[in-house]
Amino acid sequence: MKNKPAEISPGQETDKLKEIPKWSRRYALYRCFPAIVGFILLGLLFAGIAIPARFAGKASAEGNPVQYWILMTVMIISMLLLIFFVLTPWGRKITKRIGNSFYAQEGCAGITDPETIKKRERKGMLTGMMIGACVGATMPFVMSFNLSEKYLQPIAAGYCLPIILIGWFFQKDKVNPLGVLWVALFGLHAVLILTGAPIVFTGDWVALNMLIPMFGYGAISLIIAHFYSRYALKKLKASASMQENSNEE
Amino acid sequence: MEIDKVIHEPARLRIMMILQGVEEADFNFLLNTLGLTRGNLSRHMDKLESAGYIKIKKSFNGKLPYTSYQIMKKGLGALEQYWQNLDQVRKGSDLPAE
Repeated sequence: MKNKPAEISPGQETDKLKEIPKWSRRYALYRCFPAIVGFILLGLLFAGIAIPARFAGKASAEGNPVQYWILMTVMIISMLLLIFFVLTPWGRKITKRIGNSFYAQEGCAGITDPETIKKRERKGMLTGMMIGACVGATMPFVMSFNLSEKYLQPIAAGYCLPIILIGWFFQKDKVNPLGVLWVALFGLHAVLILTGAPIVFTGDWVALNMLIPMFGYGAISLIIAHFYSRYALKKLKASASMQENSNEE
Repeated sequence: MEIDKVIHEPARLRIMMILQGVEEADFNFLLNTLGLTRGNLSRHMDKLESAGYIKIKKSFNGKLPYTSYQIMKKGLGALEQYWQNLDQVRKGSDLPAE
């Protein structure tokens, strides 16, 4: 956007300039395309484990060995890929490279320096592993108390949400605020299930009771954050763009 | 009262304001956001570094050189002082606020 000195008063120009840090910070805070790529990949891999696991049991019970081994192969490949992408530095590097390719043209602005990002990645991984372990422990917990599978998600919400909220509280000015939207939607989903809303998957699709709230709401929150970052960048450019009308004195 | 001439230049003021909002920004980001030429941006960044307002970090992203910038405490202080001085000058010369 070109400056029009004849139409913009000095006060208006100053106000526009004073907005630059706000928009640059918001852009940096909300840009999350690498996270969207990582999240979709994780969602697909978890689905690649949970859904075949369910149908493999059924195929085994029906005495269909071909179907059983195909599903087991899909599940094992998904597990190996999950380990590769989550636990190995090469896997994380590939995910990051795919995500960052979106920003190759516009460059990079961050609210944390690379050293802090490395520390945060370790903390994030630890939190993720804790949540993963808890989610894994939910199934035997539900089975041992003979609870209905529909309570899987509300039970998971009971421990996931405090862990995430505590983590968010300590880093709230450094992490994407829309993470809270995911927490709210996940919590709301749990409340709706407990109040008897007809949003429970049964039978063969029971795994979707966890996959949809976890990855579906996460994806919704990240996509909203991504579009907000594009809006913030547009506002930033409107306030800061020089269109090469500045020359070194 | 003196207006800081390093910051008062429009491009450098915008660079400082962008860096104030973030922890770190790279050359490409500033280039695209400001719409300056590479040479002009480089010269402005060198000037800001010479004044001790920003820190330039040079590294490699794979095989490609990568340059990023951080605003320093001195730069934040100078920017705050700049706006205070400018606001006072405006009040003194009785320019309209809007």
